[in-house]
Amino acid sequence: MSQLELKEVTKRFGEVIAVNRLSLQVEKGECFTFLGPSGCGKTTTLRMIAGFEDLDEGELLVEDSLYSSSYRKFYVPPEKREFGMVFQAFAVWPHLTVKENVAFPLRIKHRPSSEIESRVKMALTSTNLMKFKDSYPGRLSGGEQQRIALARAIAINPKVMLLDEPLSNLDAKLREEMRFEIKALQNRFGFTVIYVTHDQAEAMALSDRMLVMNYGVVQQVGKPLDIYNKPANRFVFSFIGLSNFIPVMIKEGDAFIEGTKQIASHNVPRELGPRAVMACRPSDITFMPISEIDEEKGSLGVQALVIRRTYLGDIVDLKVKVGSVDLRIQKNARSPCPREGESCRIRFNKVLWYPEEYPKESQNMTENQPKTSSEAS
Amino acid sequence: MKDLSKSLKKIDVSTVILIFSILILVVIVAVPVLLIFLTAFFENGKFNIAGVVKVLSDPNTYNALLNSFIIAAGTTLLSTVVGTFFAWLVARTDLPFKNTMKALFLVPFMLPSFIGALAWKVLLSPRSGYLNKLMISIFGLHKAPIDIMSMGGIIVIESMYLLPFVFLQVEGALERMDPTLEESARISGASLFTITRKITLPLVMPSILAGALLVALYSLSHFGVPSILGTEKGIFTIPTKIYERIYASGGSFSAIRVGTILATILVISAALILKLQDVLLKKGQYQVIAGKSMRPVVLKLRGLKYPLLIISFIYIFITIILPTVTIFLVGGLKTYGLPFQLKYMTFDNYLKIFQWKMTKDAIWNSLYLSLSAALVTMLAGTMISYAIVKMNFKGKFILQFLGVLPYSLPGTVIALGVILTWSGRFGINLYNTAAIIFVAYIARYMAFAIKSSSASLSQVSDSLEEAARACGATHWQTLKDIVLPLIRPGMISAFFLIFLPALRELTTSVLLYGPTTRTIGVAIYTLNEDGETVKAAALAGIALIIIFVGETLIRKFLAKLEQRAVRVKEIENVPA
Amino acid sequence: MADLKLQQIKKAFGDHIILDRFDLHIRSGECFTIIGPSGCGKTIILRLIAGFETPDAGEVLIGETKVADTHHALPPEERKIGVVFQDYAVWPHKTVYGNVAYPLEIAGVTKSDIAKRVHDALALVNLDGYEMRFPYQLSGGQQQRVALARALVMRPEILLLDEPLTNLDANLREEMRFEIKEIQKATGATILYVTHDQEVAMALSDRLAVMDEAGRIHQIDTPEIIYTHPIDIFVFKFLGISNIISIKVSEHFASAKIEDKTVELPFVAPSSMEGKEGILGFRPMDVQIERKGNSADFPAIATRVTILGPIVDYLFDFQGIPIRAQALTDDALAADLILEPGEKVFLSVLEPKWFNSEGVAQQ
Repeated sequence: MSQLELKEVTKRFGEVIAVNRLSLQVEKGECFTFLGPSGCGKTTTLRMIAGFEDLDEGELLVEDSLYSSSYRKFYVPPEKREFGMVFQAFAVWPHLTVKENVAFPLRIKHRPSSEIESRVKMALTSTNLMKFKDSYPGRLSGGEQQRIALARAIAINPKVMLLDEPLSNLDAKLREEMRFEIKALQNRFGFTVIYVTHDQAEAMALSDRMLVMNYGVVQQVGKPLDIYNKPANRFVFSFIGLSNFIPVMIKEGDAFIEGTKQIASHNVPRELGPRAVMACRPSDITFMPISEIDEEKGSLGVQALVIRRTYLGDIVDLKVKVGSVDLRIQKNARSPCPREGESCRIRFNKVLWYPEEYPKESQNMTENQPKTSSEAS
Repeated sequence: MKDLSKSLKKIDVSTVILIFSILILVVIVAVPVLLIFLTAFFENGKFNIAGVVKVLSDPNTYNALLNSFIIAAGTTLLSTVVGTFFAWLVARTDLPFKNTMKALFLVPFMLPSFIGALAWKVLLSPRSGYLNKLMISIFGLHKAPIDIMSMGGIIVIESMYLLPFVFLQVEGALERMDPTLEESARISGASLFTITRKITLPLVMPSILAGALLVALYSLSHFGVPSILGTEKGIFTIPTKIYERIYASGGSFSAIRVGTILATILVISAALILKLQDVLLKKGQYQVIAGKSMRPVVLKLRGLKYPLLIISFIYIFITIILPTVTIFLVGGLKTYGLPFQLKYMTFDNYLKIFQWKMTKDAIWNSLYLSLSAALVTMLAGTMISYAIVKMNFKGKFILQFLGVLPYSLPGTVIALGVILTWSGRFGINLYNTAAIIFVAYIARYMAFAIKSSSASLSQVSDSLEEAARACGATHWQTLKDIVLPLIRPGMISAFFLIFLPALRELTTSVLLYGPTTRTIGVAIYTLNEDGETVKAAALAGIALIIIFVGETLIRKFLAKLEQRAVRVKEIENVPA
Repeated sequence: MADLKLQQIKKAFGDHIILDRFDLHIRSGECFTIIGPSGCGKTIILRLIAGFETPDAGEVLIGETKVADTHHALPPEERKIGVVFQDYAVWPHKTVYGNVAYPLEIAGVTKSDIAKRVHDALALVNLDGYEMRFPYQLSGGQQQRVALARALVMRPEILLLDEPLTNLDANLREEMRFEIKEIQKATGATILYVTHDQEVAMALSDRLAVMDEAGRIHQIDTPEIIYTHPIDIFVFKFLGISNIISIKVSEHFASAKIEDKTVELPFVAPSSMEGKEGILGFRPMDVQIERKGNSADFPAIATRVTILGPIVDYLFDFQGIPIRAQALTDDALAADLILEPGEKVFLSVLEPKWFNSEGVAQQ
């Protein structure tokens, strides 16, 4: 039995299909993230799970009980769903103290005082808010207010915790801190968490599994590292991290960088047509030292010109030009790099191949699977 | 020419602005108020508290005081409860025709309340009220069931016309409230009724209180309704008592002195109310404004939907339609008291309004007085608020205080102060001229102009001016090219928001008018006092038409300006 | 082209002294950044140079000209400096053309010249074609470019930028960063950039000044030198995530005190720290992870491994001392170093930094 299940859930706003036949199962204790750009349908999906929007089509089940069904015209209102929810704008009640905020859901459910007392204490201690319990939220910082919201959701021991971009309103340093805190809390209490964000670093840091969405359509579901390693299509590839997309012409198993006679790879998968796109991360391109260049073995690398070199402390960011194609390379600052204006040879360590046409967003994710080839050219 | 402009450029803009601001505020605001206090507490140059006590212990005066406070309390309570209810109904339920309702609940803003009082007197006065007569004949009663010329009557009528203040504040707060505050309560398990009780109401309490205090302030300061409904029966409030004293004695100094003593009480009460409002607003200043626009939680009324809709319509009928129709009908009677049958009606009175000298003059006086006062006040207000918002100098708080002071001065008090200042004391005698009304209007509306301009100015961030300076523009050029164009919509808006109230006001000009300087409000009032009810109603009808047309046209115009201003403001919220 | 000099500047607001006997010399044509926490006074420095504030003591010089001292200050409109504000300060009631043309109109440039110069300035920031748009029709990044064009159209010798990229999202920040650098190369203006964002500071600057909350400058040098040779612990901590361990040196080796235990660290301290207490610092990226150890390494247990997109973040425990490490995800994948919590590995540290008990760097 999965903790939460969505079956062919669809939501329309007028002509626009905001969520398109989404099906998934979330296991108990899993931290599951919806990741995608704004407007992709992730928040709408979360609101349907919470009950603030109803499904146009499909069904929602929690612990195998039906919570919402378009076929059976059945719908459980939000106040009866026993979820905990944390909103982007915190939604902490300013006229109640921290303690009263956290106790509110328990009071509404008429739990006995002793239970309320102990649950509130547990929630406040695990979010480091005990010292503020009698303060009003207005006096606390953004990060502390977000923790109040977390504590309030934890206190009821919810069936599912819903988090809607909870860290977007915090500054960068705080976001990083809170990321780790949320994960620690989830590990400690074992909640099932559904998390919505547009920040891929956040998604990767927190999730056990994640779902990448665009225009209401599921692009890929899987473990963060799997998605990072094998993005299902160009959209996922570019959304999950920095990317280089190199148009190539394929002749007899060799990929020529478009507009040049340079061969980027000798190991092109056979299924590709005469043209394709080679995708590569900035950290997967290396500079070939002269010692490695061997004309006989065919190990030539690709000739490139460094047009920009930026020192970023731990990392050096370079822009190189190959023909008419600009590539971005990132290397550890300690490794040797050519200077601006210098010519060099580069090598692609790991690439993924995608068909030339950018797949239409509304297509099913099973098409356009990438072909991989990881080797040195 | 070039030399002149060069030397003009050298004059420090800031100094000029500062000097003019101080001058205007001192002459228009500080001196009149000071004179009121001096006259009240000093007799023949000596501090005389005994005289004050004597006046206050006179049953005539302390009854007026008592009445003022009772009426204010009753009005505040009634309009707050009803206003909040209607605001909640419009903002948080699925009441049909919401947008129409919202607009209609605000119409009483447009109706001068003394014209409303006039209509209600016609309908429900104990002996000759038309509605009373109707009810007596239908139900076979001995005497009139409702006597509107009473404390209760005053409270109800005032509430009707002050309710929009509460409605506006509360409805606005409900609409702007962050919906996730209610959604998080919902997901916590609370029913919609519990949410309203425990979350929504407490969070809008500051707005409710702000509206309530505003009502209290206006009720205390109000002349028209208590005068029309109360004076005949001997029910006096502070403003009507002051008027009675001064007119009974033909403007004698002792009457004015009594007036100043009463006025001082008014000012102190008003200042306390404003202070209270300030404290309450700061305390409850919750960040409840939503960023994204999401739909708020809406309660489904189900069975109550149509009954509540009907109640709302009945309310609107009683407050707006009934009095308005009454006024127009009475204005069309050949003689007052005749029943409303076609053979007794005529359009003549309406046409004659534009022929009779008194009414013709009154309309003309009101128009040019309010237009010119609005213009001058708006310009002066803009300059003063620039000094307050954008400049740094020692003693700024004095300017701020003087700028806000007129808020707590009821029209009666301003009129008294203006009389004391401009009746020859300093060599200039404007008494009985239009000029004295003009000066009073400027004092009366200055605070509003400053507040409105300050709001516009604070949206022009300092960096916009600094960027111009960095581009080579002098302070003068910056004001001309950057600041002025950006606050122009706000200035135009302020102009109209002063012009319209000034056009139909009564409280201030009733103490200042002379034989040839009546305003529309004064003309209606005096016609009624003289028993010329039909003529009063006809003039009132014309006034209503002018006001309605004016308000509608101007609101459309302002809405268009607002649209452009919104685009300007959108820049602050543009995502990258 | 002009140098910028602040000499013995004092500036206070009421009782709060922001700058005291402050000196700064920026060379002609360089891109100079002042980086420091909010409220440290860096914006005040910019405003003093622009003329929006006047010094309580000291002098401000542009080139050889004294533009401000305690008696006399040239007003901003006469200083011929380009300024780009944090909130862009693009005038909403003027078009893009109107905004950029304004300084030229004030200066009395002829209409035809104005048109040409506005066009050139807009081309420089990649906004040609946008002349007739109003600011509300532009995104944040585009508005920022209008502000830049407006500051550049007068061909100023000095360009002041007050945290202009803070309100932009990460991608746009990066793009604009590069654009500003290009513009500086093209125009040769002296640029003073003020920010709290060390990433931007490092990417843009020829030289960098690190300032603390009290308005004191700790170090001025190129970004690479400041990053690799921080002069003290404040600079080290400010410029990036760091591991900081309080240590005591005896017999060349450092040891740390964890609760009651003393943990020996396999780091050789500089001789100047012999017998003394101090601080050891190193960057997470400088921590090398190996599955098999040798004499230079020390064993540690992974307690938390988080993949943050292109970077993997590790938290290790070395006998009670928490050590944070980072590596490029692709490097980690290639070396099979995506660890699980509880795995034991061997760490070594490249070029750790040593600081004495006052926080001053030791060689």
